[in-house]
Amino acid sequence: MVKAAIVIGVNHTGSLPRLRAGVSGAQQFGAWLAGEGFDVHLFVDEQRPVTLASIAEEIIALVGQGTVEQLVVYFSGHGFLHNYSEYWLLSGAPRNPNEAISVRESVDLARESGIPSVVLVSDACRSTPQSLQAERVQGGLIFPNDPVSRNVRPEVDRFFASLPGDPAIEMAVGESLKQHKGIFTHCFLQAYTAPEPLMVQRITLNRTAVYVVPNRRLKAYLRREVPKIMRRRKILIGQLPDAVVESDDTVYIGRVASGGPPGPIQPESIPVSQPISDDLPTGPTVEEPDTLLTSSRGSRLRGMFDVSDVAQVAVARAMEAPIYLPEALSNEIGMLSGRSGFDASVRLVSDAQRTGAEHFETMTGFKVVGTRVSDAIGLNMHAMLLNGGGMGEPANIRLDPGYSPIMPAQGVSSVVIRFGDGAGTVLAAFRGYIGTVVVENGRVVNVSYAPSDNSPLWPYYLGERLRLEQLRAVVATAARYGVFRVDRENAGRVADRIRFLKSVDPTLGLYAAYAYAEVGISDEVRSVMDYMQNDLSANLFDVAMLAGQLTRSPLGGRLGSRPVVPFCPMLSQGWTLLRVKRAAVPPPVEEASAHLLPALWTTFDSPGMDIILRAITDRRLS
Amino acid sequence: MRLILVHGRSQQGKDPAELKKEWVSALREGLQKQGLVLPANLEVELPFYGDKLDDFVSQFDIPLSEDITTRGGDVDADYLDFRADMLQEFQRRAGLSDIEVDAEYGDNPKPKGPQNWEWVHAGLRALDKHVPGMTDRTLELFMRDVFLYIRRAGVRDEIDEIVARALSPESSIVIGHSLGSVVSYSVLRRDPRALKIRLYVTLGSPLAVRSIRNEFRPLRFPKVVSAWYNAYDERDVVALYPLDGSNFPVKPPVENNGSILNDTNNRHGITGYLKNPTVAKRIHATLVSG
Repeated sequence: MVKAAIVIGVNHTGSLPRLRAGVSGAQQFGAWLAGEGFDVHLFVDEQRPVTLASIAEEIIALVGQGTVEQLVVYFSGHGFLHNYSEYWLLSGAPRNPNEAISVRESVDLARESGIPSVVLVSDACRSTPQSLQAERVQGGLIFPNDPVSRNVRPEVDRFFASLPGDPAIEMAVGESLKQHKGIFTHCFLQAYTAPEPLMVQRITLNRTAVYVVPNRRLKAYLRREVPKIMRRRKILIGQLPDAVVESDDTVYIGRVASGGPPGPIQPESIPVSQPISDDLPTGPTVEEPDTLLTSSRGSRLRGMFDVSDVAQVAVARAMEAPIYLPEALSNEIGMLSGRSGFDASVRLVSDAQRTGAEHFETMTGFKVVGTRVSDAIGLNMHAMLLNGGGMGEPANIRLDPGYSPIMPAQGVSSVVIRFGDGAGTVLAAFRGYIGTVVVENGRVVNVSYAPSDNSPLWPYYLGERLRLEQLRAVVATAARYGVFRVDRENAGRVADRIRFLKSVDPTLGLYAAYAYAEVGISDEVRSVMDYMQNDLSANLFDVAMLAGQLTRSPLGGRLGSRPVVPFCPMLSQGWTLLRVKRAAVPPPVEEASAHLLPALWTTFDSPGMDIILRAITDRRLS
Repeated sequence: MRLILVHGRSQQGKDPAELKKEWVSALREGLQKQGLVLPANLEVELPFYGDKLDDFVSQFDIPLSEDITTRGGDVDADYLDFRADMLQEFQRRAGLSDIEVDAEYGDNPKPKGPQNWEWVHAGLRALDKHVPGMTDRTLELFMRDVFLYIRRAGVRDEIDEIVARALSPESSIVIGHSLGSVVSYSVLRRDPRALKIRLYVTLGSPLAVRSIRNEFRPLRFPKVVSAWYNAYDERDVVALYPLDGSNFPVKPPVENNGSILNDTNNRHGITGYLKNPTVAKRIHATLVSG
């Protein structure tokens, strides 16, 4: 098997604090990979700056060979999260906004590389940027822009040092305080030198038994080990590793260092039929008994859960999926649900849905909760601001699908809503639906739809209302925390459930499409698009883009005979995918995209809204 | 020992027995030049997929350039991209300059690029004019059939199945010509059976053309093959590149022979390869080795 690795370590990035373990971490990781048979290409800023072009050229050459069967890309340095996408900063960033790696987009291109297994390991922060300078970093792509690969659908496993929004730490380890290491890199490598018995899989390679640690089994280990070291060092900053593992138990990057089994070996794959099961560590060696919660499934240290566990359990329950959760773990997750703000966020979404109008004479409109609305314009529907809201009252916007002063009327429309502080958003409106927009601190944190009580869908909605409200509230909250995910194993079940309910709320289809796209299940993305086309007689911009259907469509807001609404992505993360999905927004909207605020849903600041509204007045936007 | 012959495109309507006879006669002729004969107990099989491929051609109805002119309407964008990529490789290999393509394109104000079929067709005409023995129509038909085989869902599986059925666990030599070399590689690289392919011969193979070989990533030397011999005529436009370390870097490397002089009109015909004494001798050596 031909294996290659791109190993990047950057200590010095612009004026950001100089790291001490970026280069050494990369060197250590690279040496280990070389020992595992990888052809290692090392990029460190010891002698010269690390540039995007040099990395991209190397990967393009490797992909061009056509023989590589596994590619590992490791990064140790400064990183950040913007609009739910990671960026790895190289030597020239942030002053040179191109000198970074756009990870989310690169994952998308990696899917066309023809390399069956791509593994990304990121020992970098995922905090949100605090400065406008960092927000403007666009980064570049490191995989080739090749035609769609039909015969190999690569599995892209991703290991992150921390959860979305959190930092990654480097610290002194070992005897010498001068010897700094990234905690995540340290623990990652330790997984192969001191694995727990159940992490190890025996495989046969050239008729010889080899003991390996499958990627799938690393996640729980890292979750346990990183906080353990942090606690020992009395570091109070939270760092819980995160991972998206698409491969099964046959895919690994390293063998057990000792060469032999560390104890009883798991002969077959660990069954992962339950939604939470692959997240639960099984049978770790426990060092701190006073902090333990023990269950029949194994042990887990107190404080080991994070919001992604909470979300996973909440979504599974809302989908009425069978999950096994011992009482102790259930209590722990319950407590964290409250502490983390997850419950409050779910309540906020649920309550907003029940606040304000459920009826417009035109069957169509929006209510906005959490801010005052100063203006609303529908491109293919006449919009009337019935009341501006604010002071605890929702704003109500009535839309008339039968009349449009701007463009020909149709059953769907892009709608621009401006808030009292000048910021605003762009959403899709559908005949017969009332959209609820939740705004917090001037940013849109949730959008949902429900049939108007005088629409033909209302009786059906009433029957499903309780189930639907709970499901969309937890899905929306999980998405807000950046942890709404589907596994390839349970993708079908999620699809069925969401397909069933999304005719009464298109945002469920939207979230599902993003979750499928993240793990490369393109058939399901396409299926969501087809179902939504049938339900709504229109395409959501985001879903059509994720399905790869906006690549050749000239700007004009249609895909085949069906309109595409709105004229830009509704979720912020969609903006970072425009380039790699070869989709475009109209020029004035592109100009306004420099004024996007960090939020789950597209939110423009006041100057951005000025650009969009001016373009509508001048008829440059349709 | 068995000899499996995997034919190329444009064989529809032919009698498989006649086709087999044509291949074997050419091989005999090559051997005769070396004073050699085919072993008596040789079992020869030619899995015939010509009609099946033709069915797919009708089913998918991918228009050629001149049809586009008459019919208008949407052309499969995926096909246009594929064709443009492949054509670019043909042009580069043939040493055709942009000026020569421009000369064929004429004073046409439309944008130049893969989505403009006229531009692509100008490239084909330029090849026709500057590359002896290869007409623009032949090349276009070749590209269409390769596209169908490697890119259209289900086509490859059905054709591969026809070829795979002809393979058995007995010691064999597989000879693939032109598109047949692509088909046989597709079959051999993924066949899970314990086959014993003592020699795999590819003749006039386009496997190293980037837009074709990328569909088989990751490239591997088929596990069931003991040795791989690739022969081509330098003037054969279809066999663009040797299957060497730069173009097809599998391990162990493929044995390439680019010194063949194929005497058929387009330097690509199967008989021109099989009656070449060097090719025939290489096949014979394995046939008699048991």
